Amino acid sequence: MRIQDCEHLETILRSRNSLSEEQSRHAASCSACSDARVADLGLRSLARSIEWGPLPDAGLIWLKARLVRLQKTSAAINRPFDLAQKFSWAVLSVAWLILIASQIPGILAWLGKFEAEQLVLGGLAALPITTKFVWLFAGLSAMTFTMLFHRVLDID
Amino acid sequence: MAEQLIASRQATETRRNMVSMTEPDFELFYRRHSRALWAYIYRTTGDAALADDILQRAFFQFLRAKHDSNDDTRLKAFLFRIAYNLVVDDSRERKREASYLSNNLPEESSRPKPEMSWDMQRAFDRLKPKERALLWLAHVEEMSHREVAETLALKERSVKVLLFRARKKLASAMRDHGLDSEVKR
Repeated sequence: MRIQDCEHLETILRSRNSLSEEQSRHAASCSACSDARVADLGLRSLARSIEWGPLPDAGLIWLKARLVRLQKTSAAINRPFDLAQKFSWAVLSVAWLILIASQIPGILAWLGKFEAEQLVLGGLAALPITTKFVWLFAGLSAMTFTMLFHRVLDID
Repeated sequence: MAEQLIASRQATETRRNMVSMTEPDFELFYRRHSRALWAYIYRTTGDAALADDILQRAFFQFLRAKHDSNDDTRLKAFLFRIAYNLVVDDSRERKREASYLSNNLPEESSRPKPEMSWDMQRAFDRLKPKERALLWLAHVEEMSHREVAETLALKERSVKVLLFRARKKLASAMRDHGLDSEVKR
């Protein structure tokens, strides 16, 4: 499509409904001016015919933007704490795995002593072996519960 | 403690990145441009409810964005650019929806429309989103070619060419509907 550049275009658009005779004659013969004039009048009629209703509240938009900014800022501040918490969970999980893996033979042997006839004897015999395990177990449990407690508080 | 940290970080962010807008500044800016923006979105989408939604999203994004100027004309161009992008995104999303394909024209809103303007809207809807935006900004918002180029992220030279084509297309659609003689009255 070839672009027709007309020097009268701006004047014709500015004059709108009050075209002089000469301008009208030009607009009728020049396709660029004629198209521009028709489009311009159509668009203006479209703009005029809008049925206005109430617009959204500026205060609410401001508040929403402020809240989102606040959330982003606090998330940025909490990021190191979140990382530290994730690291603690990882360390704790590894500690649990090591403890259980190292004690599996002892645990199985200890559980094996809980047969009906050896229940009392077996339990007593297992005591010195499991003391260290019980301490580690209690320590890790306490740490796990503390972390879970923090997690629950975080969610709340 | 946390609140102090948040406040100090916000202050630093404001100083470092942008010319901030206070709430009264924003309300003034909103009062000045919201109606024009709503009209632009409404006429380019043809849906009043969608225009409300896009208007809010545009101002919301505008508030969250970083401005490097306090000049009202540039801020207005920036706001219209956000709205234009949202309208284009929305129109792409609609095209993807199968239900939309069966009825390509925008839904009629609950607000009543005079007959002529509805036909005019149909003629306007025949254009591509970019063409609608170009025509509206140039003819209704009376933006200069430079401002239109800035708003729609185009080169100033291409605005002239694109405007010429869009005018021709709209004028031809209006002539097809017999609207050209109606608007001249």
